[in-house]
Amino acid sequence: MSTVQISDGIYWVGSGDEKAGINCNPYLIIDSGEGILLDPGSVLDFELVYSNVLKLIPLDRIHYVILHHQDPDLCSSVPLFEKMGASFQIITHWRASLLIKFYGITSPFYIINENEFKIKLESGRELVFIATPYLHFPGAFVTYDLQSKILFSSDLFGAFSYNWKLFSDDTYIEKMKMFHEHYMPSNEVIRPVMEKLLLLEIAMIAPQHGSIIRADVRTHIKVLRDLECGEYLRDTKKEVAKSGGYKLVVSFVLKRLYSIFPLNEVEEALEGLEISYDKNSYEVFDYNYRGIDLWNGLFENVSKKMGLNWLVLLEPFVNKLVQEYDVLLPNIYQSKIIDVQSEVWNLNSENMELKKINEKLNQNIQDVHEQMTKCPITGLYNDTFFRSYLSKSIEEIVLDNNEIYTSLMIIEVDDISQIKYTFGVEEEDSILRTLVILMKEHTFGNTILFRLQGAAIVCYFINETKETVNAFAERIRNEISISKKFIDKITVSIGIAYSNELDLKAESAENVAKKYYGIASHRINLAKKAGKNRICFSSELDEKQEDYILIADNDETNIDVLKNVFKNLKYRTKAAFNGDEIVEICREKRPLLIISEMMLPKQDAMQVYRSLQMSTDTKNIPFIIISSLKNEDAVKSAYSLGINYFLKKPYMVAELTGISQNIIGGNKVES
Amino acid sequence: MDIILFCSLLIRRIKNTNDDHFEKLKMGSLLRRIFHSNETIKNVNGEKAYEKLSDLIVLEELGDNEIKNQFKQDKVFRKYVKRLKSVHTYRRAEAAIILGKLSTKEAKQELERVILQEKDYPVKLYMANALSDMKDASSIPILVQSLIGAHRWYRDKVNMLLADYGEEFHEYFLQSHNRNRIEVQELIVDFAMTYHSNELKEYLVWLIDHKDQELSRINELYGTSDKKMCANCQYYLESTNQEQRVCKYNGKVKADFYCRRHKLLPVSIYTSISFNKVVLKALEVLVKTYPFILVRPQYLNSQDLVIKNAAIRALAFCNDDKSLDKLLPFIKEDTLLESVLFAMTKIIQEYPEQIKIIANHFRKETDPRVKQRLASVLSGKIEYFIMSLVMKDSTNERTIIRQILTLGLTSETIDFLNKNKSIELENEVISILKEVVLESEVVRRDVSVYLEDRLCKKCGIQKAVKTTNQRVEKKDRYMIGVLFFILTSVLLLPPVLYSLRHYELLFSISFLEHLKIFVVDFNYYLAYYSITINGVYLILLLMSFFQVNRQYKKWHMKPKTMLFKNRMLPSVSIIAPAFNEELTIIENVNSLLNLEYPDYELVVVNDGSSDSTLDKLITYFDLKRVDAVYDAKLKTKQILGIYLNASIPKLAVVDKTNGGKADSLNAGINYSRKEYFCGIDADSVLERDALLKLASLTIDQSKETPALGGNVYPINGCTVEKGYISEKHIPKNNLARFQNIEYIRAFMAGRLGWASINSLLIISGAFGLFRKERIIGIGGYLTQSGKYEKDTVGEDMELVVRIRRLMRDLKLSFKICYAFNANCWTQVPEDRKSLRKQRYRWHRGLIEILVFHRKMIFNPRYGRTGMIGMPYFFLFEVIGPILEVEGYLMVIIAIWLGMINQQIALLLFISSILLGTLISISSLVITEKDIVHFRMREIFILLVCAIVENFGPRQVISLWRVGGYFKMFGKNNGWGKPIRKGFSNQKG
Repeated sequence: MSTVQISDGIYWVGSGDEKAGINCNPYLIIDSGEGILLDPGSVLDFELVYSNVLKLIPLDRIHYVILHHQDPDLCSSVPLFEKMGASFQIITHWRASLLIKFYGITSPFYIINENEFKIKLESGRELVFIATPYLHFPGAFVTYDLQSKILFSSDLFGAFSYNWKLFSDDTYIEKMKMFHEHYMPSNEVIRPVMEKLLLLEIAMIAPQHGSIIRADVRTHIKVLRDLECGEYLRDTKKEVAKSGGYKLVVSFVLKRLYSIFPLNEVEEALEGLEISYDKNSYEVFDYNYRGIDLWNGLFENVSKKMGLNWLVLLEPFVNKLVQEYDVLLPNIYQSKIIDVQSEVWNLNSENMELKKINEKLNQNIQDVHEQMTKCPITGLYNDTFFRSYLSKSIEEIVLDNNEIYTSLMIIEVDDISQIKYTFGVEEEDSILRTLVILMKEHTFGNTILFRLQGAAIVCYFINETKETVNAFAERIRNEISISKKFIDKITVSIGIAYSNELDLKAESAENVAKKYYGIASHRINLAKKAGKNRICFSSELDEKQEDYILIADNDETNIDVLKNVFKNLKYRTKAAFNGDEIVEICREKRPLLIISEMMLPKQDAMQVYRSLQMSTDTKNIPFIIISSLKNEDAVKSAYSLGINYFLKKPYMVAELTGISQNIIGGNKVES
Repeated sequence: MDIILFCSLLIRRIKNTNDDHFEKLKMGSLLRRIFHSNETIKNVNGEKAYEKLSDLIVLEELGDNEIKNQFKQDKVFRKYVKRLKSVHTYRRAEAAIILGKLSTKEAKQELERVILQEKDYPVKLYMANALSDMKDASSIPILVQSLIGAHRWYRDKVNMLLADYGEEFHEYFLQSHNRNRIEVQELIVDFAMTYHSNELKEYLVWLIDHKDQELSRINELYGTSDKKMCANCQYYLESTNQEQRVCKYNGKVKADFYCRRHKLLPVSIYTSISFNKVVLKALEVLVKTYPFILVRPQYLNSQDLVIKNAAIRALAFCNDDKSLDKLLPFIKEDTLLESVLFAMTKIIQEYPEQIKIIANHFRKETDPRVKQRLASVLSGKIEYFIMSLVMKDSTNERTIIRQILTLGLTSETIDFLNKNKSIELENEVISILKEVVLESEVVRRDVSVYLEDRLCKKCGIQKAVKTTNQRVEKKDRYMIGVLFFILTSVLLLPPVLYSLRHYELLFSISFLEHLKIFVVDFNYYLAYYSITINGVYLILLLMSFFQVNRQYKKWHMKPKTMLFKNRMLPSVSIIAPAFNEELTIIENVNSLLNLEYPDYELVVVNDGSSDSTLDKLITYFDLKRVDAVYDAKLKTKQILGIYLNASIPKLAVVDKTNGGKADSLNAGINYSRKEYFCGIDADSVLERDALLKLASLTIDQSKETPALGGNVYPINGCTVEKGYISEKHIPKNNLARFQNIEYIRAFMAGRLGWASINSLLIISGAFGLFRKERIIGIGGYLTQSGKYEKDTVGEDMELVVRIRRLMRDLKLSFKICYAFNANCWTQVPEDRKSLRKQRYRWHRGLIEILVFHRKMIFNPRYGRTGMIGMPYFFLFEVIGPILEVEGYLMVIIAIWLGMINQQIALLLFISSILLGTLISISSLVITEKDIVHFRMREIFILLVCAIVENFGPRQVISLWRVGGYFKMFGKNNGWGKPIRKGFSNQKG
């Protein structure tokens, strides 16, 4: 390749050869007959570069050679130039000069540090040198030509150059990023330099590797400014360094310890650790280890002094710190026992009795550990594990003769086969994944999730009251039915069984577990049969027998009329005059049917219907609206909510009674 | 006189209770009669009960001829047939309603006979409604006939009545050939919205296919409104051919003939615009109901952009896998963009499986513009894509999310992050957000404002600090000049008058003598002034009495079913500006969400509150910030966000930087989507039927009603539960009690009277209904950032004055109405300090308006407003208080000089005390006309207040008003709003 003039009197004099994706760009500046050679290149390129240079300028006119740092790819050809009879000064940083000597260079040095980081040529033209420390050598610098506004950037803005082109194109940014991710130490180091460069008016960037950047110079600088580089520093945790080091995370842990345990116990736990911290804010201000050792040591100490339970209790918090600050999980947590234990048990009470049970159960968990596998999609324990876990857990409770109350909840996505058909099989996975994320947001204390075969999840609650469990179920059901996080609207059916419904000691633990699971799955079937998007709490029919019709209107006349109508048909009626009353009455005792005006005080019929939807108990009460207001919008939103009929005032009594009787069907009760 | 009135109040009370009782009895026996046919009806005059019941249920099908006959006797029938010809419009209307309920053949015939001759549109509408309620197909041709040449106001409503006939109207449509009139075309298209048939479909297709021919034919037929000609005259009968027309008075005439009788036909105004609207509507029906027709290539590739756009929207309604493929090529065209985006969004809403197809297209697409557009289609599903980020290969999802965020659609993502608990997802989303934030300033702002502190840090952004900017009001030098001039003239007037009257004495007596005569003179002036002003009040009162009777009757005769019929009442956006209302906001919004009204929405505007108003709304109503796009026609302070909850479609919250009440109302108007808007104070509670009562006035006017005002009472004594007034009481606080009687007087005697002579100038900011189009036309409320770059504290009155000014300038006939029974309950100040501040503010507002619109005062061009309304305010409200205070000073001097004489004392006493009390009591009587608000004991207390008021409170208020006047010279130190009390404080 021959030379290329990149600007007035500035030439690219390279060979264009790539060696393993790295090419070298030597440049020559000719200023009124005076020559400056920049980064002349390696021994391998020498012949070509040499002849290129001679084409442009006699050898004796080259007065300076700029070496931006000491790498062989740009320095090693200098002795060969000297051998050819050239006599020039080497312009470089004092740090680089120490090393460059080892190439056997004999020419005198022009140390930029001693010359105010600039050089004045014969014509008065000035070149300015900008230090770029640690990019990627402590003494690295770049050259900025005040006249042509070209930045000779050395390794910065370089790139690996497969399919090398002299001038950059659209794809260059990505190539450049990769190069820097590998060679530049970190964003903290590169950012200030780039900020400095942004202040300069730069027409062109001529790097030593890669391509010359002529367009969008500022964009390129900004990209590097924001680049998270230092690929090989990953392991040393840049995040934690940025936010205050291990000192910070350890302080967090101390704070947490003091907030849950008694003062003296914590002090005991920390005994022997060489750290000093503020006794009020618990902020660590000095320690006598490497950061990572402090982090590991802290937990080892705690474990040694206070036992596993403390570790278990801290585990969720530590996990959060690990993810948020990108620190390593403390060694002690990585040991298998703790892993299993902490995943399964989340004890949060001081109850020593319970702690004991937990330890025993942990033993069991280790027993079944061999069979243990996790569902790859949801990250939950799978079916097989669940079965053996459940019977072990029951066995343990029986053995200990302990009053521990558990509940078993199965959650199953409705119409999963339809979903698979419409959206493809892989959508089932993503629905389940989202479902688990949603559920995890609401789980608390002693709850363990398992994934069953098909689109079903099991929640196992230990020592949670029936009310808490039921409320959790209701919340999950509602949340899912309105969530926009799924590809389409989905619903779930839920069946719950409670341990006090079983005689735990009657049979073998395995059989009891089977029965336990059987009840829950029976109930889920009931829930599905009853119309999906429901929760089934018991296997028997509803004890809240309904026997009346609820009439709601703000207008007394209409209530009178309807009362008369249904009295004639031998139905009992109750009246409500506003929205709140309807909800109250329904909570007490479920009516056969609600007939309501659309516009009611306090809550309109739609709001009422929506709040009835929130609870499985009142969810499926038939609802008829009779209103003077019947327009397209109202009717549309009413039916989309699930309201059964929408009649307009004046209505035909026969029509209303007909509809009502059809809805109520055989449930008629004599008054 | 006072006593007589008071007695009448008592008598009415008893009578009312009795009436109620009787009506209840009648209803009871009627019900028993219907449902247990073995009883007989004792009351014969049960027609009112019958009417009420028939509003509720269809009585026909009960098939009890006996009952029917009992009410359908000849006597009742004849009485009302006669009334059909009454000169009073409301009697004719009432007759129409009752005859409609009787629903006999004869009644139908009578109505059909008069409807075509009826000139008054409201009455005509009642007749049409009565006929349509009978549901007899034979009235259809007559109803259609009544549309021809009628006002748009009438046509819009009757079209809906006719559409209710359904099948029967369809029969008529099939046979009719009278389709060349635009009235009929509109009718058919309106009908097609509710009824579907092949023939209707063909008609609609024909209409759009022959759009251009029809347009020129219609222009030919109706002429253009700027040129007088036979074709656009109300007396035009028919045309025999192109050249010849037939006129009602002149027989056969030439096509361009017109005579002195020429009267422009309402349909001829903007004929081509109306026709284009018909075509648009026809297209809309086709899109939604018959989309398969429109997706034919001839429409999809039509040269006509309107049709092409409709065809594209129609694709969304075709249940077809290929719709998406057909849509994609159009996405590059800017002129079709809106329709394409609409269609795609709709498709993925209905067929979520198509989301993946669009996502695939997004991946393959290289054109960045198309990529942007596809991303905006997918933006509604962003939460789904976020959830997919934890999958192994989610590069495409990442780019989609990134693109959506770059478009500035950040609300859902930010909301997601704030609520999310999964750290894995958080890291993924943050890493995308980090990149976008660097590129887009808008996103950066959004994130820094709405994202939680911790997450902001994670993105590398500083959390924005909430700033509340203080508005600075400019000092108006001109205004001060005017004020100074008025003040000096008022102060100089009495001495000048004095020197003119006693010219001969001027230099002959001592100063003390002069002073004595002057004081006596002045006391006379004051007495005369007092008599004049009370006289004005009396006249207003008299008119109020007539007006209240008329309104009362009209309200009670309106069938509720009619009010709820489609298009009968205008759709309304309620706009409630809220500034630091955290104590009451939830109650108020609740109350406003449960009004009895056919079609309305509620827009709460948070005017940069520094308390938790917005947070409370968001938590209580579970609102989400959305990226709403709308057309901002009025300039306002910056809008920060729109909050909605999909399951409460009626409610919207607009969050904006602080700019005052007027600015907030303007922002609300920009966002609102209905025909009228109703300005409400966020600290007041509406009665459930208040809006219905107020808006129902629009069907009593054939003129335009650009503004309607309601009634305001102090809420201080009432018990409010969940925004619903459960018990009404007068306030416990004395200061508020005085205000109570003051409000009643101002509204019942004042505004009602002014409204009856169509000179109403004030509509309270607490409760007023306005036609949006007009308000936008005049540039909205007066604000610093608006059209006139001026602020006023009396924005409510200013708006009405400006409407009047504009309507007069445009030479449009209009009426500004006031509803005496549409009630809004608002908080009034309970301590002297805030009351004084309020009065200062009111007075300042009044003066600002009068100065701003000074050209209207005594200007005959502005009719009654210019000659009566504005001068009244200028003379009695601005100058009056100054004179009054001056007068009191003189009375004191007179007493001090020991020269008050009996005559003056009596005059003063009678004029101010007795007349004042008379007016107060009469107002009480009027206020009790429709609904009984207070208990007898409370009425007595109010009466005592009305009397005591004359000895002190009234004078103090005058003093404050003068104080307000003087304050305007000085530096304006902000007009702080009164401190709110929560409603819950008032329970019990």
